[in-house]
Amino acid sequence: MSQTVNKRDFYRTKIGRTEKVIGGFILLLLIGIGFGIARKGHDFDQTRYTGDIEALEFTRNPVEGKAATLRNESDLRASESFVSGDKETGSSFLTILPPVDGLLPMGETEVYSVDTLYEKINGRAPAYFEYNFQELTSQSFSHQTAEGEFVDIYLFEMDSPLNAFGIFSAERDASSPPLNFVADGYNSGTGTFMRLGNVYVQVLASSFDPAIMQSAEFLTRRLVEELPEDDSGMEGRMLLPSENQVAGSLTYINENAYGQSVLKGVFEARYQANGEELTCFAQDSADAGIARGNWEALLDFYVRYGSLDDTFETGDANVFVAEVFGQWNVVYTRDNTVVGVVNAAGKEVAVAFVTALLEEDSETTDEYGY
Amino acid sequence: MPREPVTPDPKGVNRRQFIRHLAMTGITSGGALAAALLLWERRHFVPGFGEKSGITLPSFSTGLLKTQTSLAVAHGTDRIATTRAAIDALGGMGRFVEKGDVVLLKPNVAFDRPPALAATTHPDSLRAIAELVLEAGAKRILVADNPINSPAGCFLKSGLKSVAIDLNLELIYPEQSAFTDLQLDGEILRHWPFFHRPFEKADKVIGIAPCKDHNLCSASMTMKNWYGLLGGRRNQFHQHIHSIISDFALMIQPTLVVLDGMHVLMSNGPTGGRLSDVRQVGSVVAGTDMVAVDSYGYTNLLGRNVADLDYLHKAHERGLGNMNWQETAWKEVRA
Amino acid sequence: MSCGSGNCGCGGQGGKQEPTENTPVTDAIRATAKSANPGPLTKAAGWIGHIVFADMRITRIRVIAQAFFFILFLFFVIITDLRYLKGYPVSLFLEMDPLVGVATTITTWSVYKGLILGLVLLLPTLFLGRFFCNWICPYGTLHQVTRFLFGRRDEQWNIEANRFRNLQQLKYIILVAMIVAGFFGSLQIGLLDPICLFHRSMTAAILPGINLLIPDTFYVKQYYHVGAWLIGLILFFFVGMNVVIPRFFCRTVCPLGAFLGYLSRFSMWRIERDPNKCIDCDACLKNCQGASDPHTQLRKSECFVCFECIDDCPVDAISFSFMPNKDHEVTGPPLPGRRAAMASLLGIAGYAVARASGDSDENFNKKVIRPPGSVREDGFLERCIKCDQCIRVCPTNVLQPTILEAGLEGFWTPILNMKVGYCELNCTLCGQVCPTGAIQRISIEEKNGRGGYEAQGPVKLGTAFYDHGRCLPWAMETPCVVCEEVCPTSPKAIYSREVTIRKRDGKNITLRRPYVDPALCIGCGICEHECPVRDHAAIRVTAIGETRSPERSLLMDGGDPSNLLDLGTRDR
Repeated sequence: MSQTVNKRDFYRTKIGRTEKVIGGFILLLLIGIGFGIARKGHDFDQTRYTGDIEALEFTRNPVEGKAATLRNESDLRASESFVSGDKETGSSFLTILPPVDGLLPMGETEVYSVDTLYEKINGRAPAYFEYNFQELTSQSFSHQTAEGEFVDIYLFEMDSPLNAFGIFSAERDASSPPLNFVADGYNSGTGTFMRLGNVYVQVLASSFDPAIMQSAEFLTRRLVEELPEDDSGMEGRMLLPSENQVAGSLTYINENAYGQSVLKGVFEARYQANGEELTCFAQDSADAGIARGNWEALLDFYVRYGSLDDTFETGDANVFVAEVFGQWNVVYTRDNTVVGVVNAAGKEVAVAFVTALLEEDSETTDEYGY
Repeated sequence: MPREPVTPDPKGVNRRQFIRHLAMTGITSGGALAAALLLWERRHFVPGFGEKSGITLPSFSTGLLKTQTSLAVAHGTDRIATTRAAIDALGGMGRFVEKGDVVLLKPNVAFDRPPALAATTHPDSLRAIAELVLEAGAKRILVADNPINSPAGCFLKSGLKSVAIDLNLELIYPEQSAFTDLQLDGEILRHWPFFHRPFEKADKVIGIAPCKDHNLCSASMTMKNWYGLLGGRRNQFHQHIHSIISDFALMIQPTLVVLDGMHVLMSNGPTGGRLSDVRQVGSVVAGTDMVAVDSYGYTNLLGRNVADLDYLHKAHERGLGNMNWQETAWKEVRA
Repeated sequence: MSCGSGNCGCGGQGGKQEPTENTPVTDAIRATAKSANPGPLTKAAGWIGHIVFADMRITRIRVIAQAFFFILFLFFVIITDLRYLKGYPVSLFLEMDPLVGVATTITTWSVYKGLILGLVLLLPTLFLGRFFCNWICPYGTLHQVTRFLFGRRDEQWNIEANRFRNLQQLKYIILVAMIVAGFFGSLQIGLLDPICLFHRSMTAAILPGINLLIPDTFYVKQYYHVGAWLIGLILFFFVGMNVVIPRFFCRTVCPLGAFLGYLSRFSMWRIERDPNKCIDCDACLKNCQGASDPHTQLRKSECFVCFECIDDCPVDAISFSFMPNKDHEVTGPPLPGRRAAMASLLGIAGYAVARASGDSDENFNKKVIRPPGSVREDGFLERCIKCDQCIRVCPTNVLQPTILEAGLEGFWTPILNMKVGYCELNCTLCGQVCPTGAIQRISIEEKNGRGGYEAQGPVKLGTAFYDHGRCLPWAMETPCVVCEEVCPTSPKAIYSREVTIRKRDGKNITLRRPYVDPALCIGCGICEHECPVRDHAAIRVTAIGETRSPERSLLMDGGDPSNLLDLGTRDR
């Protein structure tokens, strides 16, 4: 409007004071409005318009196989498994259900995946997820003659024999009598529990009725025949000798044993020593460096939170003795292994036990604990 | 076009016009302001959902006089006898059930386990309560639950079906049409499909629960028992399990709850699976306050520290029950 | 000179006098300007200061205010974009528009959120008159500038053009018809409301048009809008008419102006001509914006309070006075009672015949897929002011103005067109900017049925259906599962089954054939958008199954979404 300033003829030249004051007022008001809007523009909640601003940016890019709207991998997995999940495909275990005398299949063969396991065992499922549960096949059988009796079998396929042993041993009650026809198995009342390869097997009879118990046993033996043996990855348990071991106490903890992040993939067993019960663990690592690192991490922990009593070398092993929260821990590392006694009440017993362990040649222990 | 100035030609308005004008402007502004504020809609809604309504359950409680016992513990060796003793200590079933009542018994039949494994309500427990209710003069007894596994299999394998046939109890299965939406002002539970059919005719509701260890929420007793009334995709609730169990105390005020602690599932719950998980404890607890009963069960039957049971504290703090059962009027008897 | 008669009293100088006010501020500015070698910035500041302070007349302030609001309006329009939106109140003009507030109050009996700001303009109008039209309204500014730039400068022509015309009644007829239709639940003020019209024109026609001419100015990818040509033409028509009749739209068509005109009858201040001083030169009409006859009896309902007449009067006969003589004014709008009655009948009849077409009831169009968070159709027609803010902000350009798909009443209301875009899962921008609540301000969690809203489930816009004759794996022996890959729900609403067929050439091929699970489909349309059969996709979303309308749900399994999600375990 620069032209108007010079060219326009103003008839009115006297501008009253009120007019100027009001004019000034209005200018200030406009400036205030401007500031107010600028302020409002800067205070805002990022997620008000969109849950994920980066995700929205992707809408610009052409979709190439994977839509921008899939927010993370778990959604993709959930959808893929939902899409591909098909109860009919099942697994090879279907073939191991040949007829057993007296038993008739009752209901459908049920197959559950990671996403659907809740629907079978509900709140128990997370315990199985911790050991990398893969798939559950379950089937019920009724008895031809014994009315109202039934046998349920549960075949929990885990991702490795080691993890199958883990869940098997986690649920095991040490007092249950072991089975004599399979390495890892026990009987508990009406139920038989086994680890066969990477499958955790449960065979549950409905009652102590002799007919159904016998059929359950036949079914168990049939499963032992059909399911392949596989102990790969289980070598670590050989580090724990069977002498004086409390029957049924051998377990596998796959991570965070005793709250220690370095103690993953650990076998544990309890031993009777001098009238006391000791908890002993053994960890097998990929190489000596890792084992040594784990041993030192444990040492650091005990130094920080407890008190270090002694460290020494004997042969090719490094040992430390430490006390924390009133309990004694004696841990050694040799080659690829870290072995030790934790949470012992008395120091001498623990040290004696570990020393005895060290003296045995680890190679000669070929009879591992039950 | 020059014009003669008009006379008289006052500069402004006279007083009357002034007042009138002021009034009109004032009324209009005031009216606009008032109307706007009155009709102001500050909250949005989600169209198509907000208008939904649901049912709310009436209270089935029969009230509590100061002199009446609200919690009773019976110890014994025979399940039926011990259960009867517990109810008697409360004042007898006649205190709760009137002649001609329709009574709903809600057992825990979540899994298709045999009774010895203590993962479900024991058939003798159901039998004992059903017989007591019949003796008190009930007209009909309904039995219902929405199990985790297949309903037919669960009722059959747990042994409850044979009790129902024996005593002529009406089993109500959870079909699609048996569910209606529930409306609740809960923490998590606000609007959810609810197994409503058994409640349509019920005058009294009795919950009969086993005492179990639970992998996720630490214990499953009389409060967790009501989970079996929910439909829909209830597995989502596992993320908020303690809040929702405390919501159950808001959702339903039953006449009576019975906690069967004759055999307690001590480990590997809620499914259990081996007899070694089951311990014989030999007690039955009955009461009108599910929070109090669960509190007793956690400490005395499972032998754990009540400070660890989140949902109990939540329910207590929300005023839905009293976890300090010792402060209430309670009795202990031997069967 | 061009002053007409000889009795102006200026003594022949023609009024060309420099403003000679001397204030301390102006002295300081002059001193600064005269100081040795002032830099260019100082010169500019001095020049601006001179204009503002030395001659702070009210019309100049008004021009500054008009420029300010016009720039603010353009600013809001440009930043209504996901990238720049932040927290700016981009719908501010629409929310402050009193006609929008009053009309939606009449149709819905509620004042939605920000519409209460309409009081900010409504209440001062009751005291000061129609100042909005020439101080704030950006559309009015556009008309005034157009006339200034392209209109005739001839003073006599202007004086004649600015006399009151009876045609100015038209806007009152339009207003009454629309308001009466509003009482029956049909909101049509948005068709001609200046702010709505200007927003709509910018969104649909101007910004995409500029982006076509100068690429990448406003959009990352060029936006297209259905019927943009019509919207643009209407804008050009109204703006162009200023050359023929100054402020044509504002004087003859604008319903907001008519509404403010009705309100200004209560104003306590107005332009007053002193008949004793007046020399009847008609100079006040030269730049009169409202054609309010300041030279005789001022028409209060037409006066835009632009103050040009005060500046133009050679004898200072015009002033802005408090409660002056009522004989010198025409208080009410120039709409006789019988005309008003006719207008009312027009409104009623218009509503009746439009609604009787059934386009929003039984004969609802499958293509009317409304944005997420939209209220039911009858409520939508009560609230949508066709401002197209939602269309402006939509990041995928899926929202398009309708023509007749939603019926005559739904003209220019937004629907989704999946050929152009799709509804992004994590976005509720349309609801955030909608000023009237036609699209409610729902949150992301409410939209997707997460974070506490699992029980009620997600908001569904419609359902997708396969066209087996066009789908590649179904009809053309060609593998393709793009739809399944891009489906954003979790679990996916599209699943596929593997099948092995023998092809035409005799070889076997295993491919996956897709299916829609209607329980899970939310109608977002990304499948339709990505389908390679691009002219008429093999999977298309239609409006059935939308959650906002109970009567348009696709009822299955009891219809409750939380029950339906149980289908995760259903055998397929």
